[in-house]
Amino acid sequence: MQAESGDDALFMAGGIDLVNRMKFGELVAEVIYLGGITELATIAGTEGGLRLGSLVTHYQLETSAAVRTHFPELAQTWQDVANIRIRCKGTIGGNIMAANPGYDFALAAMAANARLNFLGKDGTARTVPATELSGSIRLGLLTAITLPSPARLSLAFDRSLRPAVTLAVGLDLELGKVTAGRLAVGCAFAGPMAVTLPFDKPLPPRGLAQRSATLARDLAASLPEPLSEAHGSAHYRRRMIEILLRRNLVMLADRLA
Amino acid sequence: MTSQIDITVTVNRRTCRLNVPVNRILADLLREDLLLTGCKIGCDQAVCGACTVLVDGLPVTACTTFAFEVDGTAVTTIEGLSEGGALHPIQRAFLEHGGFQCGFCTPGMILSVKALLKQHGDPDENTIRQWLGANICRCTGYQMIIEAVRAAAGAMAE
Amino acid sequence: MMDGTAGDSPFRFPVTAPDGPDKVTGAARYTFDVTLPGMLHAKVLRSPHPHARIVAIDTSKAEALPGVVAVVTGGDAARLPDPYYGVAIRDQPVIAIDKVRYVGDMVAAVAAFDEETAYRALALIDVHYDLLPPVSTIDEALADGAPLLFDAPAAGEPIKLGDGITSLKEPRPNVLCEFAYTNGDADAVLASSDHVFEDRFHFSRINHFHLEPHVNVARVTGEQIELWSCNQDPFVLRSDIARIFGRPANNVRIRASYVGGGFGGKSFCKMEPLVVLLAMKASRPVRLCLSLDESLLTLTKHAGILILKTGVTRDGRLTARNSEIQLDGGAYSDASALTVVKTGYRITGPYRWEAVTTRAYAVRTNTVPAGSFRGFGGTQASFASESQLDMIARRLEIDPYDFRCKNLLAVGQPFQPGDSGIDSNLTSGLDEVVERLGYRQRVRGSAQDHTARGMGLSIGIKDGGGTGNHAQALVKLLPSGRAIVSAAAVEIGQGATTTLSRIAAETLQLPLEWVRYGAIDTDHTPLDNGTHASCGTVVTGVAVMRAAADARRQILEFAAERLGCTADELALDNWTVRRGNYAHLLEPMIAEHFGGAGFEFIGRGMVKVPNDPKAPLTAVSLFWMPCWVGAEVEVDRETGKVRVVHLVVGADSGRSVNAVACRGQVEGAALQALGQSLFEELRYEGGSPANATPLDYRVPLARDLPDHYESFILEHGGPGPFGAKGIGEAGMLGVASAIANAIHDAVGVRLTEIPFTPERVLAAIEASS
Repeated sequence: MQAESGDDALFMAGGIDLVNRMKFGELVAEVIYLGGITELATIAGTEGGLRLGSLVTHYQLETSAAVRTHFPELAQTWQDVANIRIRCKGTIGGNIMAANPGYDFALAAMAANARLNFLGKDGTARTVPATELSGSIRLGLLTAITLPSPARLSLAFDRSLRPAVTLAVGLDLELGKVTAGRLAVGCAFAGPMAVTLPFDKPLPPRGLAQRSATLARDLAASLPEPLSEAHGSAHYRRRMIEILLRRNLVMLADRLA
Repeated sequence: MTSQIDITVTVNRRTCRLNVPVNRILADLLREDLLLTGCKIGCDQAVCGACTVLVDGLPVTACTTFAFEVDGTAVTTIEGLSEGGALHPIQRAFLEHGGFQCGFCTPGMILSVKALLKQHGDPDENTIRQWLGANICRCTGYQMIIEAVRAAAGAMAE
Repeated sequence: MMDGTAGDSPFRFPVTAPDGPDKVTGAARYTFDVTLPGMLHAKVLRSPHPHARIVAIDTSKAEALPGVVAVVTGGDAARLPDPYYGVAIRDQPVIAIDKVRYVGDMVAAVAAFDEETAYRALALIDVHYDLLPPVSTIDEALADGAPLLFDAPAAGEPIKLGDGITSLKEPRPNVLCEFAYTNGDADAVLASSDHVFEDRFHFSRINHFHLEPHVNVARVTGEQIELWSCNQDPFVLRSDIARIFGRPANNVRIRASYVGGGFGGKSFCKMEPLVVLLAMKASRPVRLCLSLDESLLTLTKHAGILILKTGVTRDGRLTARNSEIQLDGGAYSDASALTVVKTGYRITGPYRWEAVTTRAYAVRTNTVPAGSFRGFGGTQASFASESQLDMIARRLEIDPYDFRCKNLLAVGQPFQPGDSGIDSNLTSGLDEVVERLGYRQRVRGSAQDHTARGMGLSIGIKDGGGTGNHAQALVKLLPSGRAIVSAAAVEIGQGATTTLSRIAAETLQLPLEWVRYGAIDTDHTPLDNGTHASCGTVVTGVAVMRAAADARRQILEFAAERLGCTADELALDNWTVRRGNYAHLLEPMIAEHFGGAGFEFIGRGMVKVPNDPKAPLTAVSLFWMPCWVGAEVEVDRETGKVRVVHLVVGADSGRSVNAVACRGQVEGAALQALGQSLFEELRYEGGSPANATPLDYRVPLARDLPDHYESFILEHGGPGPFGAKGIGEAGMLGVASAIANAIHDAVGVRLTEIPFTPERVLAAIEASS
């Protein structure tokens, strides 16, 4: 169907973002409605991790037994995202493809180092790391988001300072030590932003706690200039990123210990 | 030139077969085609929740839902809540606990509560507050609505 | 004049609100639901510029679009007998004539067969603007050489006030009106006071955000203009429409339905004349329903700057206050003239003063017009006054509770010389707050990791019931004893339906279920001065009570004549006349005497609060509306985020006619105020509104509730039926200052500008350390 439709035809899943743009004047002539494609709305464990179909709704994510078991912070956080009716209708795929810095799922995917599966117009499949997704890449239809194995991943979310800044932190673990990590920042930049946390050597939880203040300070200082507007100045946002990152690293260290 | 589409939708337990423009909005279909004017349109951009209806039991804003999206589903509006003229326990609870003032948000609010109580039979204060974040009320300050919800939960548990 | 009896309330049992079943079943009809056969749909083209001259408008392409029936522009308005409206000062045109004065100003309007066509037609209208420099803030508007919004004086008169009180119309460039009040020689008293403190407060701009947008349907047939309107003031609107269109008022007919929220946003004339003009030009009924985005660009609450210079003795007695208040009136007058008076008058708060001098004025800026908003100046005044009270207390190292109690007006003490005495025990309300909040048990500024907690108190106040207000009512008793109350207090959610029905039912000793609050139609419903100023229960309520009493008198006289006795031997209850031990049913008595369709007893009542030339506002204030607030906050010192942990809000209902509604009004208003204190704001970037759309305009949700939110109602008696007072606005008044005071208690910093955003709080914390 994608191949048959015009170049301007837009995919529509839950329609949250699309209808919103139409209400504000965007002219949309053609829509490819994805509702009813049940294959894209499943959550399944695979060898590579947990495969979330792109049409999985936020509500499915929040209530899924698999997500609750393996990624409890994700399920917990998702109870507070938007509101219940947006969560019932909106999809995690639609949330990512909207590329709206205020939306949350891209942050989760980036922090978790998820892989995004696309289906091109020509039928080819492509996989892209979530951290490399930038807003306007048109890779075709997003079909799935695969989260890595939970045994090696620890996640934290902080939405307490919305709409100035939101963040998600993901730490990769190897034998109880932190080997790598990612910070994803929402609201503060033009799009969701992913940053690698620098771990030159594996850190035990206590080391992580000790280094949290320095890590946060250095990382916040290294970021490009955040947006300055009504919900927060650039200066405030940069400082809040540092403070929230530090607090969440301490919390994660505590959890891992 | 907008094309037309056939849809079949069960509204308040009655099956309706309609032929509508493909971009027909559900709120207009309900209010104009089916004369179910209990669905009020407030913000018209899915923020206030006044136009909330239930689609297969889940709350959605009718102002941002296309008619084609509800093809093959069961839609419940506020008019469909009372059966045989008797008020639903949620409606009775709203009456008894001052859960409304101007009433414009009330139909959407009550339907949102219906969906809540289906998911959580005895929700705590925090669960109710989070769920009702989907419905703006400018009049009540929410506290009395929350009390109505707890009363309804109690009545429905019996 | 008024029945202010205390005693056991006949209203202590809760009842089902008569409008309830309609509202919970979706049967309730609002103006939003009104449809007429052949009705057209209108849309409005609005100015994208804050300030510009309209050079030319070409509507030809729009008029040629199939489905478009009529297009209206300023040229059509200019031909009307009197195309301007506003309260006292009438400077707002039916539609922009020569200039646009704010982003959102109405420039052209289209009526078409459907909304989509009307929208398309808007895009086909070409407007040639000559841009003018805008003034977006009070300071810009008052600067030397600032561009002027108006080239000529507006029609109208300044508000009439008592002797010696200044009330000026357009006294200076870009100043709409000015109010100045003096009692004694404040400057002299300040000069001799132990301490004088001057502090400056900034109040923000918010919107009413009633969920039902502004919606009107107009039909003009021959001589008659009919309007189905969401307006809160049908009779005020009627006289405006009559004047604007040069028609006799009895050819103007306004019908009101349930209103989906008002809060003052639907008070006084708005876009109704435009809808009438469209209906005339189209020769068909026209419906104009604004989007909520457009309602956001229709009216706001006055933002402003309040500078208070307050004197105090070293042991904490207030001496004098000199206030300078600048309100941002936006582009047009609307209700600014009245708001300025009330803000200025209320700035002294519920305290005793040796001397007072106040100057308040409304500045014209190229922003959305400001007008009535629940609290009406009392909110702005209370924020400044109650914040400064606390600041002074702390500077003198006196506990804020003690400082207030030392200076509070006692029951009976006049608010200002010539005005009525306070009718509420202010200390008892404060004590109630202190008790519920646990104020005495607080541990000041207790720090746990990065957070700190604190508590703050506040007593907001305003006069209630309007000034020299009046109302009329009818009560009809049908042969069966069923009753219809006919009064024009519009049901906007405040519970007018229930309250007025209950007053009639109680007076006539009928079951509430037998009483219906009749549809409001200016052809048949008696005149009311407007649904605002929390006057429904006290003013309209007294009119209803007197109408019911009049009906009862007629009924007993009728029965006396039938029974061959005198009326004073008879009593009435449950549509039965009692004479000693005998009970006589009225329905058969009526049928026997009249036959046919029977007879209706029509009772008539009216009330007018007397004028008083010695009163500062030309009539003494009918009652006083205090708002006692206690807030406990938790402040995150590192992020500046403020969380309201506990909020207590109290008010005085006099004697609750409808306790459920009283509670709902207080809690609803207080949450509006909480939203404005912490985040809600209609922001401007230069001359452009930055967030005038529901998506970006954040209002309180259930998840924004304080952890613990409670209200209380005291009953100190009032002049209304059975001792009632109005209470609709009370909850707005004290919340912002209580939160500011709590933040001060927690982290030792004072915020004098709302909203208390995390960034502002953090900046204040860092500035102080």
